[in-house]
Amino acid sequence: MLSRFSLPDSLPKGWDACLLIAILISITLVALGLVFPAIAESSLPLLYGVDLVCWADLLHKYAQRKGQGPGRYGQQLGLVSLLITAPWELIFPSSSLVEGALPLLWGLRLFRLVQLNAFLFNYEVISLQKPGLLRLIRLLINIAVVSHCLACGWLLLGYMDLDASWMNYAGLQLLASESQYIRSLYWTITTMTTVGYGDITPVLDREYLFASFVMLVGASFYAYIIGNIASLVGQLNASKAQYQQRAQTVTSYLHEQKVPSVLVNRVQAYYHNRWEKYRNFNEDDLLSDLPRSLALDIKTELAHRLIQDVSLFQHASLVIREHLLAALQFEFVDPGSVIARVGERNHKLVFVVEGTLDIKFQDEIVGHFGPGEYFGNHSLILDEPRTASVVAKSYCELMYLCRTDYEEIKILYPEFVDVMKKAMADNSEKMSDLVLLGVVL
Amino acid sequence: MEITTTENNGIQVVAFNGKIDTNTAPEVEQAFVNLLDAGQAHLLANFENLSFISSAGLRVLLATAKKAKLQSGGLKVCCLNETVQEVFDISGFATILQVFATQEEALNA
Repeated sequence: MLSRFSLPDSLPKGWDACLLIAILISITLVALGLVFPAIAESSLPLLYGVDLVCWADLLHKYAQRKGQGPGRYGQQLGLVSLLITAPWELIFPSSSLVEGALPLLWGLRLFRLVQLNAFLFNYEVISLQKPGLLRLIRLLINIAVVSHCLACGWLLLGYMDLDASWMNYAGLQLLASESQYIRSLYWTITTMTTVGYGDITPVLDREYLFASFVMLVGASFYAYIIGNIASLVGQLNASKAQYQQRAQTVTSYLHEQKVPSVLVNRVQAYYHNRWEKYRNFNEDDLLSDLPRSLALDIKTELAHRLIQDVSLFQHASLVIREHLLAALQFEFVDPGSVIARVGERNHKLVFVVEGTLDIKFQDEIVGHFGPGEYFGNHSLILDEPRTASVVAKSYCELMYLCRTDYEEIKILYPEFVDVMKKAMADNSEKMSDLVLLGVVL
Repeated sequence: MEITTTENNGIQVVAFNGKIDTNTAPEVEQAFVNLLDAGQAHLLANFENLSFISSAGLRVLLATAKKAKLQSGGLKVCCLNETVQEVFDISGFATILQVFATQEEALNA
């Protein structure tokens, strides 16, 4: 029957937020409806509306999961959702039920709390942005909803025997319903938080039992809240602490080895700047988890500045560009770092993504390489030692293409030589000036 | 290194046999300087029999091209073998200098 309907591939934007609000409305109204029949009656159309929203969501998830197995979310929600979203009042009219059964069926909707938690948990898992904040929101929503339900339960106990219940002893039976609800909520929160002023106390046995239950729930929540907050704070600082620890270990080692303080200061400044720029992230480590094609897409996106600025990438076809990006090695260097040395035969192409490099030839600075420029092609193709040094003038982001990767790309894509030729044309004036000076890089 | 110079329609065709490296580059430079000093600024380097060129050779070619240009002439290069062609392509010389596949093409350009 389902196949007759064409379910949309994706639900409208904001659907999740609608579902969340619908579930919250449902739980709030159902709990109040158990205490105040008038609210139950007036909110019935709204609740059916919520049921419809939940059904639509259930059907959509079923359609999505079809052929893929129920999945974790589906397993959690399948049966529970079916039970609680069924329009029980229509299936069993009040006349066919034993007295007292209808509120039970009505109250089944309170199990949407399970659905709500599964939904929030699932969202927490799939939404990788600010997981700590999402967990805190889930916690606060749970506290609010459970407090509301318990307050309604406490109120219901009071109404069950107005003359002998806690409500009579607290002198609240003549108050308006809203005030009674507020007092009940107040009692729930003071009990859950173990404050317990004692102005509202249980009187009947069932009230003592309920109060004990609320205390247990409160204590559990307390433990849960403290644990979560401690974990959240721990997570917030974990990354920084780990980074600081590593930086401290390196500097301590350098002090131990009596490395000159100038060099140690450079290391400290490097760590500071690296943290400012990248925090504790290592791109290669992070991307190693991902499939190659996805990692490559991300690398392409991350290297958009390189692709935009470096003429070699602009002239390269998509496949060559992807191969280049997969082969490029990233390095963040501090001012004073020697990128290429005179006499060196470590042939590699060096691309400047950010920062400035000085070209030192016979103890003189004869030029610079800035963002988008690259060097290394002369010594690479001529197989000659470098005749000049290249030193970082500022903090620089560099990318390297080593000789073996260069050779591999050249063999796989013979047109790469044409790409190099075109790229060199964009930089020919600078390079010819350097060649005339005798600079081989 | 064997260097042969011939004239063809006012263009001095300099043919090389061997390789241009640090040792032979001064000899090549001198050959070009002699032509330029004699007022022959339209030059064509024929690399048909050139097996290798180093950075020193590239520097000589570049310097010669600049000097020739100053004398309202120029330096063309032709008949590069695969190795030398790649050096020219990758080092960017293929765009700095005028490179032709054959001597005829170079003379007619």
